[in-house]
Amino acid sequence: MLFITLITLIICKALLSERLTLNFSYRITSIILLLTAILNYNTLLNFDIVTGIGIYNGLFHITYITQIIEIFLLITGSIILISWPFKNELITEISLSSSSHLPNTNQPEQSSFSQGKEGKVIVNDKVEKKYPLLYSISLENYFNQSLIEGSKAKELLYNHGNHNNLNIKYSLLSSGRLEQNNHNFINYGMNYSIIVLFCTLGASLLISCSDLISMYLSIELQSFSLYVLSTLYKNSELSTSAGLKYFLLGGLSSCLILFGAGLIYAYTGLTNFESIYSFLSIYSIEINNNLLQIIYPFLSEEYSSSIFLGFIFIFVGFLFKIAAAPFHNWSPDVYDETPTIVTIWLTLIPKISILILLLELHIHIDLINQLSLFGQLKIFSFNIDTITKNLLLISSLFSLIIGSVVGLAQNRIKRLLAYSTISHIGYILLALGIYTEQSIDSFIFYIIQYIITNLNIFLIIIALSYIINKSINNDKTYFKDIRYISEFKGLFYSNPLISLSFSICLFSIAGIPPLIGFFSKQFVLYSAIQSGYNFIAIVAIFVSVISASYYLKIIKTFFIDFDSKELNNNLLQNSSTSTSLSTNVTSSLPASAYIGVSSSNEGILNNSHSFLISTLTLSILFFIFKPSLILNITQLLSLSLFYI
Amino acid sequence: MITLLLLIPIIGSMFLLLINEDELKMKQIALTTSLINLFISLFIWYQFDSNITQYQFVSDFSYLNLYHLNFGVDSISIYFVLLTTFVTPIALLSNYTTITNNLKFFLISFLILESLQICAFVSLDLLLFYIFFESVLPVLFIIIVIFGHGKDKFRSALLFFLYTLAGSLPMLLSILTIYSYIGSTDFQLISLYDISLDYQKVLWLGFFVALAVKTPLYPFIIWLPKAHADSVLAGSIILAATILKLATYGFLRVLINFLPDATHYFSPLVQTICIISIIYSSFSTIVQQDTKRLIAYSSIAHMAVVVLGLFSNTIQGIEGAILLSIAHGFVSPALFICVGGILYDRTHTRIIQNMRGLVVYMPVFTVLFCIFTLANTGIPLSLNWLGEIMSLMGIWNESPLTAVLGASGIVLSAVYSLFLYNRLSYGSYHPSLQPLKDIDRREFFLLLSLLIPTFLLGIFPNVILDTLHMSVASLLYEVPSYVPTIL
Repeated sequence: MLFITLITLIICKALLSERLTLNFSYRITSIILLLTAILNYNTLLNFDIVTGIGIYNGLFHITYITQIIEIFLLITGSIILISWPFKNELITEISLSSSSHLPNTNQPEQSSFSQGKEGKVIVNDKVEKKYPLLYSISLENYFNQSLIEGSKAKELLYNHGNHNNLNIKYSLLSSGRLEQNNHNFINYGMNYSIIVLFCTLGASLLISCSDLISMYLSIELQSFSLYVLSTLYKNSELSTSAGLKYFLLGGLSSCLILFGAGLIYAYTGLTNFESIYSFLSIYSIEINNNLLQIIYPFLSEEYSSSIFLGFIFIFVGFLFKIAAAPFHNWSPDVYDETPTIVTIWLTLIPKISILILLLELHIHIDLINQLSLFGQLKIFSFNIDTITKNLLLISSLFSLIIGSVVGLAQNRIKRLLAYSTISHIGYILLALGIYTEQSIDSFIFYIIQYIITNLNIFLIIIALSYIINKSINNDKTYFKDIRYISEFKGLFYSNPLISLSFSICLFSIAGIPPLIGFFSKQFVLYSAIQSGYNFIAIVAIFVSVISASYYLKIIKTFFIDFDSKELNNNLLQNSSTSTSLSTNVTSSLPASAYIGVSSSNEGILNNSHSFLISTLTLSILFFIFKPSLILNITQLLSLSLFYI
Repeated sequence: MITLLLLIPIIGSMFLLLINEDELKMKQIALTTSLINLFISLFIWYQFDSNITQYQFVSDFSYLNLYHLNFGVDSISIYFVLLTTFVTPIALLSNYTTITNNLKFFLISFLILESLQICAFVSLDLLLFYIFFESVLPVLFIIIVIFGHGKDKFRSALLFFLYTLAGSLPMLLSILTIYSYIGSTDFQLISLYDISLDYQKVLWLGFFVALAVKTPLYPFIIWLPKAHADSVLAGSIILAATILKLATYGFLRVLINFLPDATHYFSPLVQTICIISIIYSSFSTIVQQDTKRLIAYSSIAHMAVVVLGLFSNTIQGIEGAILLSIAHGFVSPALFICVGGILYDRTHTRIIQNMRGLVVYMPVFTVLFCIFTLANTGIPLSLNWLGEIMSLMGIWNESPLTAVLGASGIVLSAVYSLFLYNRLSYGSYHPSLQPLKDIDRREFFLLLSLLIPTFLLGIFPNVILDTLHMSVASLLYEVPSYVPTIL
């Protein structure tokens, strides 16, 4: 099944290497993701995965959980891709309009785009006045040199190159530049869809891996594609720096994982998880026997502790990757600075895959512990199970507190969401650390809830960045993402439905009752109380009040009305001169955003995007009426872990 | 029947969604919906059998599993349901003309609010009670933020939300503990279960914090005056009349019913807190300058008397508390309409110093205002008087000292109410005020519809009391002989 997935993905890449239109590639990618999801679903129906099937020589190991989470991941991926295409259409329109009307202003862009050809271009401009024909030829050369893949431009050039009309030259020039700009974005887009495929491939492999090597390879596949994704806008300084930051710290955590894996390999000589587990369990029974210790010198405390150190390193590395609290510092910066469309991937895909992997590791370590209990109670001076458990619990406590308290001081939306994500990770790790049937149930449910809500929030933010920034950035080549919370000011009065659905999402992640977020928190708390973790449950409760206050801060800004005076002034300025718009943008962003929204057409969002937002919002809102849909899945999954 | 009660507001808001532009039609639809709901609830009341203590009209939605999604009423909750269905059309009518922007949103949110509140009163499951108890918050938050007055509205909405949320989360923990202890949160199952005293104490404290914030009792009162002052009129009406009663209902249903030992153990604490909040809020009522804040503070004092009655462990006390909370649900909306609606619409101020001598131009208003002010102080023949006297009689049996201190609240309420009335109505007409129109027909009937039940029930309280006896008697707690009674 995974093989088929792989094949389809590779075919898809081959398809993409030919230059198809951008939207087409996105559609194809998202359809392929959906298709693989369906294939996964088929495997669930057709095969009898009892305790799991090892595939590819035991490098990967499939269970019910991995399959279902994979399905969720793939669907999520295809949903995210749907939100992208419209953006590019818009970009082409705008760059077309700007370049055709104001060819002169395009000059700096062009030069910035290709520095090496700057001199050539300037020569072109000089030549163009006197020798139109020559110019057209040089233009052709120029096009050839700049390796433009857009064959359209070339065709255009060949067809019309003989005409000596200066206007056509201009239009050609502009279209060439347009083509260049577009090319730039098409490249982004092409890269985007390919990298996204790599990323989901890595994630789905990571979920089901069962070998140290395959684990490391798939986590690198996933993270490298994410590093590249976060530098998607090559021209933007912010996103580049974010990508670099992400790369350095992600590399550090990969190092930790690799080091841990190396330690384990060095002392056991095994890479397969199953064999490591069985080795450890035998080992832990027999180590108490002093006689054996004499016979086998490797059965000493030193050796065992270094193996466990290896496990701890792996766990810490994974906690680093999902930005759990003591290792969280990179995530707000990276989230804030990457384009929103990439931030979705950052918040969803790697976290979920790694969390599921952690779950698998944790289960098996617990199994070792049970086996060792069978032999003798206290094996070492410390116990691997309690260590990983405490590691998870401490990390969850830190993430809960830091995620909500530090989040209070943020005024940028994505930074704030990064902190809210950290506190969610806290809840998830709490459920993982407790490790009972109930808590694993709540763990899976929390993850699913997290996917739905976070996806919806980011879709809405992207939608809003289309809407709000439509009129502002006519002269820029790509859309500005929303960065500050204050940009949402007065959203309710211009765009009531989106703002309401946004506030429903925020209420949901704040944990207000009839919404889905409440139930997930409630399940986690219930399992915590049931197994006696009262202190951390109380902390989680208070922390959720604190975090509710910053969600409310966002919601509050939707309903802040502008002073009508200020608004009128801005309207007057806007109507009087078109240039004042750009000055207004910097001076009073929210007001002009308001105007932009009020003047924009309804059709600014594409249908599928708005349909997705509404569906997700409704599913958040009306979860209470049919909870068994998701709950049955999670319950069965958690039972499948314990009783098969 | 109860399902109908819950669905009709939602169906009404569906209809509202379809209509655009036509404001009059929207208002009419919303009003009709809420009136239909009122008649249905009256019909339920008529059909209600008061001789059994079981839940009646139980409708079971176990196919929607998760929790026991059961709805049903007993003779305690039916009065709160009636109060809700009665107050919602009044709230809608009170802002009938003043809301112009986002009218549809206003109407829909009030209908949904009604539905949610009825859900909270009729649900027969602790967790569902919590869910609906809390789900009122976001709706009300958005109402205050969108339709509220003044620059401070965001702050007071935040205070309101965070106070209630922070208070109610310990309740969630207690509920989850009960769930892991008993294995169910169904009311009837819990009441069959015997929880040990040590456990009860912890659970009790968790519930009490949540309900004390909502009531509100002394240390947690700051949010209420602010929320009242900055909210739109209809919001204040709903807040005073029914949302505060969620706490009363919670006390009755959860603390007294399920945790009787702990309730008895902690009742001196509750009495102390109540006395403090009565006296503290009465004194702070006297110095208020803002009329809406003044009434908000006075309702804190009255709610504290209600809680005193509830924790008296006598049949008079508990029945009196229920009567007083119903009466408060009539009188305090009326006073809010008087000062926050009628006067605010005309003068656009709520500061007492800016209004004087209103009797010159508004005689009818002054008469009605006088009657409601007197009812607020607990004048005989009004339902308030009956409620207060019965609550205090009940607490007298428990501890006379508490009753004496609690009765000081009546004197103080006379002080602030008459002081307010006197300053507004008499004296020379305020020079900066334009001549004001007297109340129109809508406002008159609004006030009249609140006036009639106050006095009708004050004269014939047995209409309610007869149905209450059975349920309330089952709530009484037999004091174990070895526990020394305090005071």
